[in-house]
Parts: sequence; structure tokens; C-alpha cells
Amino acid sequence: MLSVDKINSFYGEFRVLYDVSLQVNDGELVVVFGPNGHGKSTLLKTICGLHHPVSGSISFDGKEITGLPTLKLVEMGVVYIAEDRHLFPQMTVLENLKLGAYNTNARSKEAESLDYVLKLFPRLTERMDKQAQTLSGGEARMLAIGRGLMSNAKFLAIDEPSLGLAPNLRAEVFKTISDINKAGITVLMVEQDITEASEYADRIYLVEDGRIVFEGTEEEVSKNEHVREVFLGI
Amino acid sequence: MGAIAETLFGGITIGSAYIIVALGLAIVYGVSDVMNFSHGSLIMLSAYVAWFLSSTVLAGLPLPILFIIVPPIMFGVGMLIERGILRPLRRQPNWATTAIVVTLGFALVINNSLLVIFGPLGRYIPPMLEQVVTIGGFTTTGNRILIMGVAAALVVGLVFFLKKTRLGLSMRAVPQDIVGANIVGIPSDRIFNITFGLSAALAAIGGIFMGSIYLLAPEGGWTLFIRAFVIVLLAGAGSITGVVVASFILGILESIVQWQFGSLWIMPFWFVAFLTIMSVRPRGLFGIR
Repeated sequence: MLSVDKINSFYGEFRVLYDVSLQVNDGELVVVFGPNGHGKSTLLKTICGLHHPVSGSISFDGKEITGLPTLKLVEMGVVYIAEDRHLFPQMTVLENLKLGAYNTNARSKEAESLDYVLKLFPRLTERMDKQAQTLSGGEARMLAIGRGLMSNAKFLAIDEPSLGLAPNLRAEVFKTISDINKAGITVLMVEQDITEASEYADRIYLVEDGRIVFEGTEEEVSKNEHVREVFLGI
Repeated sequence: MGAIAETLFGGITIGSAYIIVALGLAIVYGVSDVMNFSHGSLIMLSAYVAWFLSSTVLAGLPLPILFIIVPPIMFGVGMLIERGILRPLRRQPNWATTAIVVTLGFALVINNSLLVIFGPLGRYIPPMLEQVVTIGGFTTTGNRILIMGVAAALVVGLVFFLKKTRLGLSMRAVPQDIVGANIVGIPSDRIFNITFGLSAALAAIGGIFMGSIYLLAPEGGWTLFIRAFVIVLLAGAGSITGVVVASFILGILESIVQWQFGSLWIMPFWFVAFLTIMSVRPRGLFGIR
């Protein structure tokens, strides 16, 4: 479904991604792990058109999407859920969710998607008329994911969904993402902490210093010497 | 009816007119953070367009037809201004300042063009409802009642639009988080463009009324702009409620000052009121950002 081929990304003079290639197949939940500041977020942003690569190519559903603006990608069903959420703080939870269904593919399914999101996150139902800026960290994360789901996406790129959440909430969020994936949405997720999220992943990539250093299943990860040392500290 | 009540009623009439004048400026300021210094000139341009049409092509037709014809024309003008002179500057450093300079320059272009085309002589559009009416003991003109009605309808309509329609929600979303807007697929350039169109269409409604209350003059836009500017700053970034409250405060103040001290004192009192309120609430009455 998504194929990234040897992309190189820079922030100014600073090189962030080195010949990164990865694949996400239809229906998979793929997780990219890596330490903070090693290019994971840049990778997702580059895929979603928020940052443009200097070289390399990205294709989605067989179509070349390198350099396309985010607006186009959203229409194609590639939706980004930001680590720093980017909610509309002075709008209500309901208004935020409604705007999630802004793109033309999502509009006709708005009511249906809203039911689905509220079933996944019943807590948002109670907060419907509250401004997004009044939500707790966990609720805001749910709203960000919910808003992304309103978009009728085929492919969700989720940036560190567990960031800043209490441990019990983290498990809940991963479980929900896994449910979303089982409902048919392909997911590429980026995470720092390999111990919790890996059990939900179909496949795992590890990123270090802007390079893919490992690719495999959870089982293969746990057997790998280098990975055990760097990522698990054992 | 007592003089105080008459004065208050007069203030509410003036306040209603100011609401119409300031709404367009407030919307652009709220959505795009641009203080459009040409807003008053756009109102004056609309008034001239309305006057020109009503005395040539539309001569003999009922005047309310101007409300159907002039706002769409100005909507297009607003979109052209955004596309032509503001969009190229957006995403550049010091954007808010350059936008002020550019719109200020554009105001001068409009004013001087009006002077060249129509000359310095004052023009006017006949009032739409000339008859004198008496409501609850207050004597006023039909035109003034019409202005109050239109101000109320615009405020209610805009609030509904901003809260209940997809486009309105998008207009509120873009200034709150432009990246957030981008990732849900809201085309912020188009939203800015439509906002300028809407603002100019509101200027058109203001212009048609201004032309039927005051004589039109090529430089007249400045007086309108200064008033709208004070109201919008007092209101707080883009707040519609703020515009309504600020317009009524200043309208009633104006009416009282005129009654007690004469019209020369209106602007000094306005600025004292402005400075007093802003020193207590630096972000304006309803400002959040």
C-alpha cells in the first residue's frame, strides 16, 4: 500500500533521514521504533507531505506521491495524526471531530464516523460541548486520534500516540489503534518505547540516527543481539 | 420621552451602523491576523459603486436591489485583493507589518482612484426608507430602523455561519491551528481568500448605508476605518460579540458626548474610553489570543 524508497530529508543543513526505505502492506499495523530525535517524526511528516524529501520516492496505492501537499494526500486517504495533536483549542470536541471529516471522501460518512469514534472513545461523548483546550492530556490524545478517524482514512500515520500518557491510558490507546487496524485501516505508527507497543505490531522497523537498522517481527526483534542492547537495554 | 432615553436610542442607532462597518474588518483580522487598512476605503468604494449603479444602469429600479448586486461584486474584489497583493506576502517574515503597509498603500490607491474618476464633489444615495416613524415614543427614520435590522440580521447570520457551517468552522479553525487545519484537509489559502471576499461583501453593505446617510467623499474611508479599527481592537481578536458590545459602548458614548459637549469632542472621548478599557483588558473585551 505504502512504499518508501531511499528518501533523504534535511532540516536546513542538518540531515535527518539517510536512504530510508520501508513498506507497509494493505491491512498491516507497522510500528517504527527509535530513540527521540532520530528522525521518526520526520519520516512520518515526509510521508504525509508536511516535509519534503531532498531525494527518494514515496508511492501510495501504486501512485507516486513524493512532494504532494498534505491537502492532496488527505483526499487520497493518507491521514496524519500529530504527536503534538494540533487540535483547534477554542473549538468544542464536536466541532473538532466534525472538521476531521472535512475532506470530500469523509463528508457523506460524517454521522457514521462520529458514531464509530464515540464508540471507541466513550469518554469524548461526555466532553462533546467542551472546548478542546479544557481536555486532559489523555482526552486530547483521544480527540486527536478520533479526529483522524473522522477523515475516512485508508492509511493512518500516527506519531507517538502514547506520548505523555499515564501507563494505563497508553495500553488503552494501543489497544484502540489495534482495533482500528483490525477494522480495516492500515496503520503506520511511530513510538519510542518498544516494550509496550510491539505486541500489537505486524512488523517492526527500528530507526537509529536517521537510518533503518532493523526490520522484522516482534519475535525477531527480541532475538536480535544489537536490538536487545540498544532498544531494550538488556 | 426624556432626553436621556432619546440619547441612548440615538446611540444604539449609531452603534448598529458601526457594527455593519466593523464586522468585515473583524472577520479578516480574526481569521488571517491582517489589520486591513483599506477596509474603510473598500466601504467608500462600495458606496461609489452603489451610487454609480443606482444613478446609471439601475436608475429607476428600487434601491434595495443594490443589496443584491453590490455585495457579490465586492466579494470578487475582496478575493482579488487577497490573491493579488496579500497572498504573495504571507509566509514571509514580518508578515503582519508588511500586510499593514500594503493595505495602507492600497487604501491610498482606492481613494485617489475615486478622486480621479468621480471628482471631489460629494455624492449621495437616497435613503431607502425615508418616512419618519415613531416606535415606543422614539421618533426616528425608517432608514435608521433598517440599519438596526440589518445589523442584527448580519450578526445573527454570521454567528450561525461560523458555528454551524463547514466553511464557518473552517474559518475559525485556520487561525487556531493552521497545521491542524492542513492535516484535516482544510485549504487555508482558499479560506483566507473567501474570508477577504466575505469581508469586502460586508463592506459593501456598509457602503450602501453610508452613502444614504452621509455625503460620499473620496477620502471618507479614513473616518470609517478609524472607527472600525478602534472597535475591532476593543472587541478583541475577531470576536463578533466583542464587535457588538464595543460598537454599542462607543455609539452610546458618541451620542452622549454629542448631546453634552458637541461633536468635536467625540473622538477625544472615544480614545479615552479606548485607552481605559485596553489598560484593563489589553487583549480587548473578548480577546483570547
